[in-house]
Amino acid sequence: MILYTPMPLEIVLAGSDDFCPAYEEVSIRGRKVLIEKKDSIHASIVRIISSNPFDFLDPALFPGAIITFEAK
Amino acid sequence: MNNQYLPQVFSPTWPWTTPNKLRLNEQPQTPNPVPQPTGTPTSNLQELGQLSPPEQPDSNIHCITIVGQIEGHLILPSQNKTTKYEHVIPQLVAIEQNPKISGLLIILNTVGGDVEAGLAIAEMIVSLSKPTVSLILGGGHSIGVPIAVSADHSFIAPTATMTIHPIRLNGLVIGVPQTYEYLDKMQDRVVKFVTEHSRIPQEKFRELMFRTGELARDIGTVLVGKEAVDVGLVDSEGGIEEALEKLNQLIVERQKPSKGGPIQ
Repeated sequence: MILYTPMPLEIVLAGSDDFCPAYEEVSIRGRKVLIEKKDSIHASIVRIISSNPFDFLDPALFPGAIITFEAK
Repeated sequence: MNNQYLPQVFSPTWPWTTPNKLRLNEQPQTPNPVPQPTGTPTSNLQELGQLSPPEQPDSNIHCITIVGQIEGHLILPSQNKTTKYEHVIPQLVAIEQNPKISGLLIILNTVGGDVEAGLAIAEMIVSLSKPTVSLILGGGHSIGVPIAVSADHSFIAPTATMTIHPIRLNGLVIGVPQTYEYLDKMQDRVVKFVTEHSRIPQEKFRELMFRTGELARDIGTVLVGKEAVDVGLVDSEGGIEEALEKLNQLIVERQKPSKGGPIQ
């Protein structure tokens, strides 16, 4: 990785040593997405794992979107 | 979000272990006394309050982005952004089988990674019956090179770079001649693949790989944009417009009936 920024490196990389996100792969409407759990029923979308470019246009699946789970 | 009462475990038994006051919806929940078969933690949950996806036509071109490290036999620490073998291979199988998909665009911005995973993805792309075009943006280094050349036509952005350098061995290395032989064999797999699927001659590729004086801490070469085209590694310089134009052209060409003799 090559960084090209006027920001000091210790600010850019602050906290990177203890950064250990817990990602989980789930299927939402048939699409595989990587989520990061916020609490027991909320999660935010990190990444969409799909080769269909239109899957990336679904506003509900935008990276950062919060999804809520409920019992069936 | 007040989560002090919520259980810390994201478990399939959540609705029945949470205090009543925290239930978000007012619908009466019937506790299910029969334990559900345990699948993934979210297998018996569904989303709430979401819009249905907008209706859109299916794209006849699918796109696979290869970003960060290419991950194969080992799971890398979480600060690495990775492209996983087990995500890409099934997608390639699905693309080959789906009759609605007529072409594949591969976008690369990778720093290399697992040799076997990289070669596996490259071999899958080569053997795909559908037209494929690759586009290198940012960087397509090391094992990204075989993936880039595996497409029917490859493009490189003018500022994108490709680093060509020898393979390294990690872990226990025994100082015997066999170690060298083994390393040489692994390297030959990459060299053979790249030279068979691009215009670059083997001697030239090896020369770039073992060149000294270009990289400060390694031997090898960095090719920027047009340089990769000039040595014959990549087919043309361009961006998304050229890549999609070429892919659509290849799709039309492949759909045309062959101009051979009359088929009776």
